Amino acid sequence: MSLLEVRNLVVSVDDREILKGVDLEVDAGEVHAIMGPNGSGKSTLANALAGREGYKIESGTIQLDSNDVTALEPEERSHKGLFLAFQYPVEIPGVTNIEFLKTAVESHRAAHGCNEISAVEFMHNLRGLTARLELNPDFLKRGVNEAFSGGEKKRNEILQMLCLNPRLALLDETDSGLDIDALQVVARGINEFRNSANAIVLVTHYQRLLNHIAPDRVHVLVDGRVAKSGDASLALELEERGYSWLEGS
Amino acid sequence: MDVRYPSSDASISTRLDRDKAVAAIIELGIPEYRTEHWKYTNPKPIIEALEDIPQALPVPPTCLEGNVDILAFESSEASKVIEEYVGSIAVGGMTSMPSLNLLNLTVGYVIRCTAATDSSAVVRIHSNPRHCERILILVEEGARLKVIESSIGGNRVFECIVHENASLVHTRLQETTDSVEYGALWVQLHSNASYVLDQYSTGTSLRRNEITIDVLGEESNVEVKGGWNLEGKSHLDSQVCVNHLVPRSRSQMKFHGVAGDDSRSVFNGRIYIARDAQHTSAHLTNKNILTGANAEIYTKPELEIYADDVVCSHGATSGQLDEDQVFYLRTRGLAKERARELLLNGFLQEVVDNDLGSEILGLKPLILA
Repeated sequence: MSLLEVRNLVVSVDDREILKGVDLEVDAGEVHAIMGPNGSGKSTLANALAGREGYKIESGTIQLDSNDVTALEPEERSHKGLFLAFQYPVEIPGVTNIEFLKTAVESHRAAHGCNEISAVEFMHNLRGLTARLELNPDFLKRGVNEAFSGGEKKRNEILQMLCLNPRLALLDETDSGLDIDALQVVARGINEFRNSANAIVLVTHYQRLLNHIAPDRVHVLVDGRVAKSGDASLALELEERGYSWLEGS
Repeated sequence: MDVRYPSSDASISTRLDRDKAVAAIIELGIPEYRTEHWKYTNPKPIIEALEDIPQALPVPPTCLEGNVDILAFESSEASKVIEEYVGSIAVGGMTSMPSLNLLNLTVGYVIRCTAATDSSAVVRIHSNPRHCERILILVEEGARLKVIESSIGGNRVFECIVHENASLVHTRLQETTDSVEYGALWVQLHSNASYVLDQYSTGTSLRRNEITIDVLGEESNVEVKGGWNLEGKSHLDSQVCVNHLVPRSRSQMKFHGVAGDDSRSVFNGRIYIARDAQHTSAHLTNKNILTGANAEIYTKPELEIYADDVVCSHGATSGQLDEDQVFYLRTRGLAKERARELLLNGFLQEVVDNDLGSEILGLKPLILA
C-alpha cells in the first residue's frame, strides 16, 4: 500500500469543478513533482489534500498510510502526518514564531499521547534546525511571518516541516519568491528531510527546483486531471516544449 | 439649570473651587444619551451611581519605591496644590462628567513626585468601588513616576501634570466587575516630558474611559496602548483625545479590542493639531475583532489638523478572525478552537508588554527563546 493514495478525486470551489478525477500514488521514500500550467488545479489539489474549507470533495478518496482521511479536519490530517507548505505563508502578528512552533509540536505530541516536551529540549532542537536553515535565532522571537522576506517565509515553512517531521510533505510552490541562494538553502532542507520512511510532493511551475531535488515521478496536471506521468526526464521535456502539447490529451 | 451640591465630605468640599465645576455643567449640560459624546453609551447609570454609598473606607495610594508625597485632600499640606490645580485641568472638554465628579467627591489624593532621580518612584493606586474619587498627580521637573492603578467600579478622575523633563508611566488595570465604572484621565504635558499609558480592560456592565492629553511643551512624547477583552453583556466605551498645541511633539496610540458574546465596544480616538503645532508626529490605530454573534463594535478615529507640516495617521478596523490564519494554524495540528485562541491571544499581545496586562486580559504567557 502506498503512503499516499488519491483515487478519482473530484473537487469543486464555489460550485466550480476544478479537479475532475485525479489519481495519485506516492510510496514512502519517493519525491513526486506536480507540474502544470496556471489554473490547472495544482494548488487546489494541495489545499484539498490538506482539508481546506471551501474545497468541496465531490467524490473520490484520499488515503494516508491506508487511513481514509477524506473527511478529516485539517488538524487531524496534520496529526496523521500530512504537512502543507504554503505558496503564500500567512502572517500572524502578535504570535511569535517560537510560540507558534511550540504550540504546533505540542498539539502533535498530545494527539499521539506523548508528554509535553521540555522547554530545554525543544529549544535545543529548534536552534539546531534554525542553524541548518541559516536563520538568525532572533527570527524565532518575531511574529509568525510578520515582515519576513519572501525567502524567510519559505525557509520558515521548511523549519515547520522539520519540526513536525511529517510522513507526507506537500510543498506548494515553495520555490516561488526565492533567490538562487535561498533556493539552495531550502532545497538542502528538503533533501535532509527526505528519507525512506517519508514522502514529498512538490507542486512547482519550474524545473529549477527539480535541479536541486531529484524527483522519482513527475505528473502533469492539465484542466484538473493528470494528463501525463513520467520520470524526472518529463520535467526536462516540459521545460523545453511547454505544456501546450499536453492540452487536450 | 438646577445644580445641587451633594452631601460629599465637607472637609474636602470646602477646599474645592466648585464654581468652575458648576459653570462647566451649565455650559455643557448634564450628559444625555444619544448626544454626540454619548451616542452609544447611556450616561444615566453613571450619574445614578454618583449617589452610591461606599461600602468601605477608601484605600489610599501606597508608595512601593522611591520618595513620593501622598496626601489626602483633607490634609492641610494638600490645600495649596488643591487650590492651584484641582478642577482646573479636568474641566470643559467632551462632557461635564468630570465636573459632576468634583461636586460629588467622597475622597481625593495628591500624589507628588519631586525628586529628580535616575530611577522611577512607583505608586500603587488601589480600587475604591462606589467612591467618587479624584487624584491629582504632580510630577515635578526631572522626576520619574510609575503608577499602577486598579479599578473595579466607581467614579475616578485623574488630573496629571508632568513638568519639564519629567516622565509618568501609567498602567491601568480595569478588572471585571458588576458595577458601573467611570474613569476620566486628564494629562498636561510640558517640555521634553513623557507620558506612557498602558490600559487593559475586561468586561463590566458599563465602563467609560475618557482620556484627554494636552501637549503643552515642545519635544514631549505620548505613548498610549490599550487592550480590551469583552465577554457576556459587558460594555466598554473609550473616548481618547490628544491635543498637540505646540510644535515638535509626538504621540503614538494603539488600541486592540476583542468583543465577544453580547458585548459592546465603543471607541472614539481623536488627534487635534493646532495651527502652531508644526513638526508634530501623531499616529492612532484601533483594531477590533468581533467574536460574538451578537457583539457590537463602534469605532471612529478622527484627525483634526490645522498645521501644514506634520506627519499623522489614523485608522480603525473591525472584523472577524482571518480564516486563512485559522487554516494555517490548523494545518500545523492546532484544533480550530486552539487556533482561534492563539490568534486572539496574539492580537491582544500586540498592545501588551507587561505581565499585569496579560493577567487582566487572560492571556497565555509568551514562551521566551
